[in-house]
Amino acid sequence: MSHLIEEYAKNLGVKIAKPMVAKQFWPIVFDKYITICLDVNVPAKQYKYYDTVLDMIGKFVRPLGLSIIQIGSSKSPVLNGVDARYYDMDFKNTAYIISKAQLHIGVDDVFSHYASSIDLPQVTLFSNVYPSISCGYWSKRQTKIESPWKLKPCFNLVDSNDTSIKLNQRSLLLQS
Amino acid sequence: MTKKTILVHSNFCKAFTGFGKNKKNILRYLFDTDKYNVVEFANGRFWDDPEIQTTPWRCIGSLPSAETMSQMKDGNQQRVAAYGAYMIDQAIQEVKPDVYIGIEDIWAFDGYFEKPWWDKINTMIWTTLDSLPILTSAIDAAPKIKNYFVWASFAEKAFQEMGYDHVKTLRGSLDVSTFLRMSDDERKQLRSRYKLSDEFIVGFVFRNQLRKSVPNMLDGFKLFKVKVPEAKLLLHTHWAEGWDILKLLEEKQINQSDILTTYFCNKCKRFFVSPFAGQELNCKACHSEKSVNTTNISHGVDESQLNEIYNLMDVYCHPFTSGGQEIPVQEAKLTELVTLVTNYSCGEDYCNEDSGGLPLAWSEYREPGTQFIKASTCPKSIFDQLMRVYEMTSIERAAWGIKARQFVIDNCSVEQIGKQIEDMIDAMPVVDYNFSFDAIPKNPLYEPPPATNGTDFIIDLYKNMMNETVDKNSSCVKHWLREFEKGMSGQDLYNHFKNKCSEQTKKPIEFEEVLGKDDKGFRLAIVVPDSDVDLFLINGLLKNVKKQYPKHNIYIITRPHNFQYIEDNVNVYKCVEYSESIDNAFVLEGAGDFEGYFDLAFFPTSTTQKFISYIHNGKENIQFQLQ
Repeated sequence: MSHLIEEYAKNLGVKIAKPMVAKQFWPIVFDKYITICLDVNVPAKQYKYYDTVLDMIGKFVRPLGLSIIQIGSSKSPVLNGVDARYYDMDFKNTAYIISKAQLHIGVDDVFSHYASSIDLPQVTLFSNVYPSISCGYWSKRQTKIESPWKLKPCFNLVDSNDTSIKLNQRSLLLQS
Repeated sequence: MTKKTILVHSNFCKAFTGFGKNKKNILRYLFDTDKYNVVEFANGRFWDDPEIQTTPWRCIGSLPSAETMSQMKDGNQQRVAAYGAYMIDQAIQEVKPDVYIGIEDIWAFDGYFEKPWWDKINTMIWTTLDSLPILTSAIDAAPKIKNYFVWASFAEKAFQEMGYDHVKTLRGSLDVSTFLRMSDDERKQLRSRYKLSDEFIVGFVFRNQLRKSVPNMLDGFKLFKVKVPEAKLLLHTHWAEGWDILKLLEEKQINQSDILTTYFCNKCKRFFVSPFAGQELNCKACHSEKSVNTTNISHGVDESQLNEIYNLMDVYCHPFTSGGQEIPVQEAKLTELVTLVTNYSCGEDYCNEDSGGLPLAWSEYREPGTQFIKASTCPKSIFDQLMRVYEMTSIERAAWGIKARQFVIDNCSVEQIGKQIEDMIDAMPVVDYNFSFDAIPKNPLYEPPPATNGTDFIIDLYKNMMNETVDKNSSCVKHWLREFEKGMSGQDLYNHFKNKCSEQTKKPIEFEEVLGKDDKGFRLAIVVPDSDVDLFLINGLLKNVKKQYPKHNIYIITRPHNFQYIEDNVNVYKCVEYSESIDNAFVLEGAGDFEGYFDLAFFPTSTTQKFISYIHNGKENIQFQLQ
């Protein structure tokens, strides 16, 4: 295991603690919900079949009284089947929304690391990097789904093999 | 009366280079007048290098500290540092010269003309140019330099054709007392020392560089040798660099015994003249082993020995592609040799009858890349002119020689050149240093006249928005005219300049302004330019950083949009805006005489973002616990 935060810990010569974030209230109309966040900045991390997955997930989560909220950037593809969208918010507001969620689905970005720091259950997709490097470090309840790399992750912003779109939809569904 | 202070900027005066020798002459001349405070600014030497403290005048080096130099990432930074780019402002502020004299290749002064002090003090640039068309940066500099001097008249003429009458020729200076024609008896004795007698010796003194036309010289000599069997060619140069002379001799079927060269013993410092016989020879004088090599810049003859070498010659021949001044030509003239010089570049000044010289004809070729005109000297012309000198009577040759020496005395002697500079300095006003050294502000609010696609509009924007003096010959003006032709409008250009002004008027971060007032010695910086994930993860380490450094204030240096990922951590004292200049541990922590700003500075993303080296295929096995 050579997690990113371990590299920083070695550099600073200290043990790992937990981040502090003063999350800021944001009104949410739902009591119970799942958050989902798409990455728009890194092409290699863009999974294209969320609509299908959400359609399938909906059948399981709706009876449980769970809503689905999309967070992230207004440049993200608009997902069908979500109940609300909260775009382009300050990190601290977004942190508040995530903190009240039952589950977070997304890629290895700052939101998944935040979810990990509060031990929120999450499903994380890894397409251009090993999960051991960039997974939620503090999570006890995290499901990691790797792209089907031919050999190794591309470690690049753009994946010429487009492995992220080859993620198994059923696997994502089941893990969720 | 208060003495004017003169800052002379060039190679160190003791460097064995054309610039170094010229600087030594000028400094000595100005110093000996006792009229000025003379200060030397020596390129390529450290600011307070003890080795440069041996001059009668104050000498400071152009390089910042060794620590700062070691932090420079690329060769270009080091190159401009050697020319003084990082220390010139300090030199001007500290020395406060009334007159600044810069003597170097023109690119050494890149950025100087926009300095706040440039037009506030008396400035003079004295530069070498060697080819046509004139270097673009030298043309760009023309409207910005009031006292602009070149070492050769061909460049002055080229500037005049462009409309710059203020660019004048001021040749590099020579100490004319060093080189003299020896008496006939002395010359005869000298020859006998090297087993030479009545040979007709053609000489060429040069650093073995490709711009010295050795193949052409050999071709011309070969023709001459047919007519004059007693001819020898003395190549005073190093055979282990540049042209492979031995191979050329073989290829051209020239007898090696007809080509003489200078050997120098680095132990006993004697020199010998003989045909080439290899390198690392044993010295016949001091019996040292492997101490004798062809003369070179590390181990070579001194000026009095070089004078003897010129006195072995009957004629001096200098074929070259182009050059700034070609000092050996003047040295040869001082020893009263008829000099044959390629009639191009600086050679134009030394190849006419008035100068005791003869022109060598040449053909034009272009240097790949730069497209500069270069000269390939005609071997037939070398032969013809050698024959002309050979056929002169000894009285004729002597008359030409006397003329040659006098030409150098009149045009290149330190007395002549020094006097011109002295007169210039005396005509310049004393400088009042009551001006700001802050960068000259740009003016994004300038309201230009109605936009046009003309030269005047571009020049006006440069002058009134960028505070830069340009004219119709400037490369930037030509560039924008080409853009106009492609469809750009005057309004587009104005908008572009406005944006550039706004960028440049942004105030750089002053560290002192953002740091705490009472935490000196207890500041800890963590530099994380980006990204959100990095900031967030490092947020998770700060509790323990504070535990390790309880008395220190923790500063997070990052781009402002990242503050939100870490600023709420109670252990953060302050988030500070990142800029690329901060990417230097010695700037933050200090080095040498510089105290720095922080006690400790960490760059944790250097192995994860800058130079990704932490992945190890996810298999790293750390022995100690990190949690």
